[in-house]
Amino acid sequence: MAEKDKLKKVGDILLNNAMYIIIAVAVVYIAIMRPTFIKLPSIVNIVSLTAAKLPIALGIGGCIVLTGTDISAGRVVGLTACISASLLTTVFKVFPKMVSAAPLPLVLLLVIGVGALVGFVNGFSVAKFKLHPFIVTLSTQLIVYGIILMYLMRGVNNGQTLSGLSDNYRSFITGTLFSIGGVAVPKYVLYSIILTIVMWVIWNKTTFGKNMFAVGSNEEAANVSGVNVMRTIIMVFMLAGMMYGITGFLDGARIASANANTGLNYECDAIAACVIGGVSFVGGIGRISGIVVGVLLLQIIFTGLNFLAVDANMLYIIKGLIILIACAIDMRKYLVRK
Amino acid sequence: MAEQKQTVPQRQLRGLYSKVNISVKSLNIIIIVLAAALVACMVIGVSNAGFTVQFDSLGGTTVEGQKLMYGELITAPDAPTREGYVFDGWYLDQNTTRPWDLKKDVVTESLTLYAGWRVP
Repeated sequence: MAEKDKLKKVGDILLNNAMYIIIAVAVVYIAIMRPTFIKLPSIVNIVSLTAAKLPIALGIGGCIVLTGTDISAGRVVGLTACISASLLTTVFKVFPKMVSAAPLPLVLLLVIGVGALVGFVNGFSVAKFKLHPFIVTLSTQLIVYGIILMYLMRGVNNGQTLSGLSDNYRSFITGTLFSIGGVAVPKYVLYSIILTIVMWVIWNKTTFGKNMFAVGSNEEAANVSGVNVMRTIIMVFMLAGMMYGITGFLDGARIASANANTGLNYECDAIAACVIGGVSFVGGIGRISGIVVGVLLLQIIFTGLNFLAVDANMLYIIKGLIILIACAIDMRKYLVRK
Repeated sequence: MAEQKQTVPQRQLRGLYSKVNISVKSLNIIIIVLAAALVACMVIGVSNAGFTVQFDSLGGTTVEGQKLMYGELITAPDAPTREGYVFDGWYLDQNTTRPWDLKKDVVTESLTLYAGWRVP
């Protein structure tokens, strides 16, 4: 009996950590096959890309805690990246009458506002009409995409990729924060860390954060105990929207251009990262540290597969499988927990 | 003892999983099968490794694609020709705004390069 229990325990550990084990084995394999993968430039690259994708995951994490999801995220990133790239540029194709780039803080506030507005529409529809977030965010996703396409047709741009960004915008985001061993760490890593700290405080130290978890684990009970459910839901989606806005602002400069495809599928990566990081679809369960780990793990495995020159088409299948496994493990953990 | 365990009702899943009715045993099998599929996909991906670089000559003579590994330089293909135009290098976009330096730029993903043409 004891022997059997022990075996069961080992099996439990193996199954609950199946994803981490696979990723660890893959990383070891990649490190052996391509030693440059664990060299400093590659590590800095992974950290930077993680930082770039972290804000959107932090935003979506809140929606998942509410047992929801947000599939409009990627398009909001695209829209805000296009807005940033059109205003902070040297060639004003979208607004031909402009002569100099708009002030940075103003554009940042504008894109945060745009994100918050989309978030408000999402949150309000979910909270007020009890619509499933999937259907609401699906429609806002399409609407935002339409707006991106129309925005890019404005002026003399004719739907083309926006580039030629102003120097102070680019250096504000991708400028060197500090160098280690001759490898520059871009400034947006710092911004991402700040956002993570802010989100950690919001999730763990504020009434709003506690209300969010209460609503996520049991809406009825939260309502009875005096939580303003509607306001909480709207605020979670608005906060998420702001995060997408910031991601868009960072992404425009990071990629040095923006077009209608910027931000495409970002929400898939973000949702996958959250689920891997233990933000459960069961609702009311999740930690900021988990999200950070999730984004980092995904980035490590996909950078690694890229090093092995695995075709991008296969990466989509792998991503899909990773989400499925993460969900199955998530369910299992919930069921066996006493 | 074992029988008693089975009579304890299983926890009901909530949230997005609230409609899911599955036992831990089936979940174990699903996790193992999916994990095997994931590993298989990675193995297939690695054994077919290589990024394809395609050349779109935009109306000029056809240029053969190449298969390259991460971080490799593209071997300069024979320059395409097109009547009435002079070839002036490969670009990442059709509008020929982002040139590709064959001597410096390394491949990090599958991509298509477009020929740049100018009027002589």
